[in-house]
Amino acid sequence: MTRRFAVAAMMVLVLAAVAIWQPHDPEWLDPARAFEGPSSAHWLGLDHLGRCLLSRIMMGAGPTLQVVAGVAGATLAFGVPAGLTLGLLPDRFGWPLQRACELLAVVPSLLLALIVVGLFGLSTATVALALGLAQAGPFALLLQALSRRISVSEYVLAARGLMLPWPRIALRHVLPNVAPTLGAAVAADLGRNVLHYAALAFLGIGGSVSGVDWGGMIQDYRLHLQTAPVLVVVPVLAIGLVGGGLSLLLDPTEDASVG
Amino acid sequence: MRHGGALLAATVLAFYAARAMPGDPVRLALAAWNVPQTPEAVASLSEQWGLDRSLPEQYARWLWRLVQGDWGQSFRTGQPILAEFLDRAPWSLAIGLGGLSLGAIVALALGFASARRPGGWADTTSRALAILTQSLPGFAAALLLLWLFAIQLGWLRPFTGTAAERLVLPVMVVGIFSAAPLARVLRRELRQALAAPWVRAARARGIAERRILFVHAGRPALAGFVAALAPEAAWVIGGTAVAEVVFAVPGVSLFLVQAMSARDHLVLQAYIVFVAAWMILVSALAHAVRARLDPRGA
Repeated sequence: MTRRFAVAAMMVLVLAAVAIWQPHDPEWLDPARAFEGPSSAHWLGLDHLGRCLLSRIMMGAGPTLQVVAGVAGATLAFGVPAGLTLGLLPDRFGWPLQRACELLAVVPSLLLALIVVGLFGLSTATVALALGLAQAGPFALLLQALSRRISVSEYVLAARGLMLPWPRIALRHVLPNVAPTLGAAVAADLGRNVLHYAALAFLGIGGSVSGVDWGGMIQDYRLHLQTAPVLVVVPVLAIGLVGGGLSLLLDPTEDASVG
Repeated sequence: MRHGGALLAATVLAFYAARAMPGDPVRLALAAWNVPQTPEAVASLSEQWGLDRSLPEQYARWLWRLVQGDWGQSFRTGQPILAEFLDRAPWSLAIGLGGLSLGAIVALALGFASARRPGGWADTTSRALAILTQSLPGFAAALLLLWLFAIQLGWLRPFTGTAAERLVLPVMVVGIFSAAPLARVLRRELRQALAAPWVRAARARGIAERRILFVHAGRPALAGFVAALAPEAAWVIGGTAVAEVVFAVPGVSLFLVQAMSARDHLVLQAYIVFVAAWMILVSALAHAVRARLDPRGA
């Protein structure tokens, strides 16, 4: 598993690098050279406005990375306090939170994101918050189960015996012991979020994305599917390699040896 | 009773979600109708829509009209929303349920075949399908099918043809994407059941391996299969959004997508209620089916 994490981390680094540096300005356009084929200057050719496809694909890694990191952050920000509260407080205080988390676990995260994005507009921040909130539900339930198990262990009992306040027990005694499992749970969703974001950007509910983006590119280029399929194929491959790659590396349920 | 409570919670959520939308619906509507936004016009429309009352009162009045079948009118099209939903629901249901049935059939075949021979061709196929659906977004698969069948082969006219012609490709997309996870779930459940003591007992009694797979292991595994099928079925109406947009099928989700760009909040409210009602119906049905297949869990 550590080797897979290392490969995934390297992938993220490469994506960050290409999001920062491109061979040409992705917004520079030359309509006279629209649909020009691959050349030594533009390895993947030019799009319908004569923009460098390779540079745009590289630039498009940026918003995808922002969303992936943002969702992970939002899941932790919502899920850790919720899960610890559920795990350590008696049920009679926690039940509204419990119901909310169960609801989020049942509603598909893409549906929730669709509605949130429709309400508040499409941006990497709203998508990250919406998907993060959706995934915080099942995450909090996982943390609840884990911390219930830890909270009967001797060292937590000892901490209780010392009359330590429960937030301190939660942060110092419970959280460090479940952190690896939590990290793996968040990592398992990273690849799926790449696909979710691409779908939302493609649908363009709540406005189209500003700037260069893989899902948005496919939305633009699909009109030229008949004459220049390469314009659609390249961003689809980018989404597939990054989303599928992260899923295969980090999602243990798809592990070939399982089952 | 539990389902009634869930539905009521959904209506509260739908009501307040639409109110959380930035932008004043009255001004948006006036702008959409090209009416000058004088204070008089704003005040009279607010009064007509009951927006000058308190929120709980607005909610109660909205819910009462909802129950009576008055779901309001889309300010974009001027059409009653409920009629619009009922017109469009058959398209979404046809894609969703058609795709899900296709997916379930493929998954049953692949699941049983790959549990019978782990590592065989069916197992490899279903694993490849799982990797494919994890790497390829649904809309990209839809575009690919469109390119292959409509542009390259010219077999279908997905935008202008008959209803059947327009439905084939979206049903295929939904089918492929639901088959992949369902096949893996069924395989896992079957392998688990095949390792159970009652299967060993059945083998010891000399019962044919085929019968063991389909009957002894099959029945409990099917209960797990139905449990995995239920969320997919519950999500059918919203899950077809991508297919509806790519193939321009006039379903419920395309209506939402169009309404959202016009900030038509009544349509959003209706959509949430509609989808929630469907999800609750499906989960109640799935629960009943599961209880019959595997009485132990119920």
